[in-house]
Amino acid sequence: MTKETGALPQVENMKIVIARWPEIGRVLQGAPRPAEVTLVTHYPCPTLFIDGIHMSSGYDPVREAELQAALVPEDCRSAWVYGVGAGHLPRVLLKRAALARLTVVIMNHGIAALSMAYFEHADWLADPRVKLVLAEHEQEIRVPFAAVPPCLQLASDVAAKLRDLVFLELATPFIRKRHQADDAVLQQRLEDNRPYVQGDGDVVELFDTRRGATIVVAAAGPTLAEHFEWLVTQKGKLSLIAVDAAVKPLVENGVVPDVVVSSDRQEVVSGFFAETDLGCLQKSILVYLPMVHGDALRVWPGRRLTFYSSDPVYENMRNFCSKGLLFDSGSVLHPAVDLAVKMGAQKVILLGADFAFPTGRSHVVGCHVLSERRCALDEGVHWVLDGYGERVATAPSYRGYLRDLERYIGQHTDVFFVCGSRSGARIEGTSFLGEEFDV
Amino acid sequence: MCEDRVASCNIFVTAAATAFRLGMEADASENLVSFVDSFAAVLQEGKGIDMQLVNALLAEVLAAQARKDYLRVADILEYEIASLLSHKIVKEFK
Repeated sequence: MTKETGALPQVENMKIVIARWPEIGRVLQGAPRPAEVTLVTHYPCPTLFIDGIHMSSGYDPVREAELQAALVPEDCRSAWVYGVGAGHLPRVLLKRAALARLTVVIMNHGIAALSMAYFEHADWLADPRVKLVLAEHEQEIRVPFAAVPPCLQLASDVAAKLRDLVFLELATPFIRKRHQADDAVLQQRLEDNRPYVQGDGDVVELFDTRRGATIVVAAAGPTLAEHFEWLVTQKGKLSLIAVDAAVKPLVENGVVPDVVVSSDRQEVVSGFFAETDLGCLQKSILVYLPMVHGDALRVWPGRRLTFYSSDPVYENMRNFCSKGLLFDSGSVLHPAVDLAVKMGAQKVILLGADFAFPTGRSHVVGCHVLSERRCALDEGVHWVLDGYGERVATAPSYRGYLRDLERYIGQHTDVFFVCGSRSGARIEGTSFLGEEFDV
Repeated sequence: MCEDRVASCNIFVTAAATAFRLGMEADASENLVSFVDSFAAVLQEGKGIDMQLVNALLAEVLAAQARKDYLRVADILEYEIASLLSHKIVKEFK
């Protein structure tokens, strides 16, 4: 049982940590503590209140840990826990006789040290099945796992990537459920767009057409605006693939993309080309997923090519109409980047790929969005690290898209990925453009 | 019918609290919205409900949610609002 004691249990906890994992012991002993910490004792069960976040339930932390532990199947021999919390989750999991190995990942040195100073952890720390590791040494998420959410919220900068991967994994069942709920609407959309899919070309036509080239991919993040002038100077020199949301601001600034990618099922897509002079896009190619809003297809003045994602929703369509496949994990930037790679790019320059709110805005000025999101880095806001190593506000979905793109980049080591701005989220696996564009 | 509404409230409140405890933020938020909607319907029909207490609890839920203090949100929903639902409101309808 966790309890508040007059004599803090830190000596016994740290004695075990130092004996079993000496390096982690040194790290925890020297870790800076959070600025605002309160031991809350006015609930039935004591808990810590750290930087505005409660570490565990004030009513029944054991039941809470049992709920969290249920994410790990009963018969598993090995499991992972993200976050130490107040120690309830590892303790609950270790009650399982079938469990032979439990790896507990520390998401924030200072928070873990604090918890060990206030709560008893000695029983589970001494269990020979337990291995304690630091988040910064873990590159990928391991399954099966359970997590202590406050430890994810309070993750340190070095644990940010792992935190995002855990949240992404936790959100996956909900995302799937939402997609299934939309299924009827989606099927109707596919049926409506069927004549386009049958009559239009195949994205495969573009594959291997730009071998060894540098291709610019323009997303619709706020930092795209930093590159308008440069893009104008590159007319005819570099291929430009734009996501649909970037078309209006690009055209308004005199930049005509060679290819535009559209993959979003949302209604907003139909507005991306509205109030835009599409006349200049007659030679541009629209590469689209069959689920996009029909208005976007109707108004497009140039050639259209279709692609599929790996989503099973396209299985029936594939049977009557074969099209090339592009990577799509929720953001239109994913297929845009994959198209650049499949066209044969040796270097891909990402512009406006911010995955954050670097100017407090979600999109570049001039972009058509139904509800422009504005967000400043403040208490409780989600964050990622930007190219300067500073925290920048973001949205949970953006973090997911970012980590999926990083995984993709990690699988394409033969392509050189370059990020245009340091103000957006740091994209692992990319380098930054210098003062001058080196292309 | 009133008891059905209270039952709906309880389903959403439990689903939201569970999802918050698991770190499933989007799922939790969706259930929280459903709960608030059904709770509003219950409040409209209930008599003698301590609206000051209800408002204070809902304000605390929103504040905790805004600062991402999800376990506190779960505790308020599951132990403070749910207990209000089972003890106070149900009594009003019987």
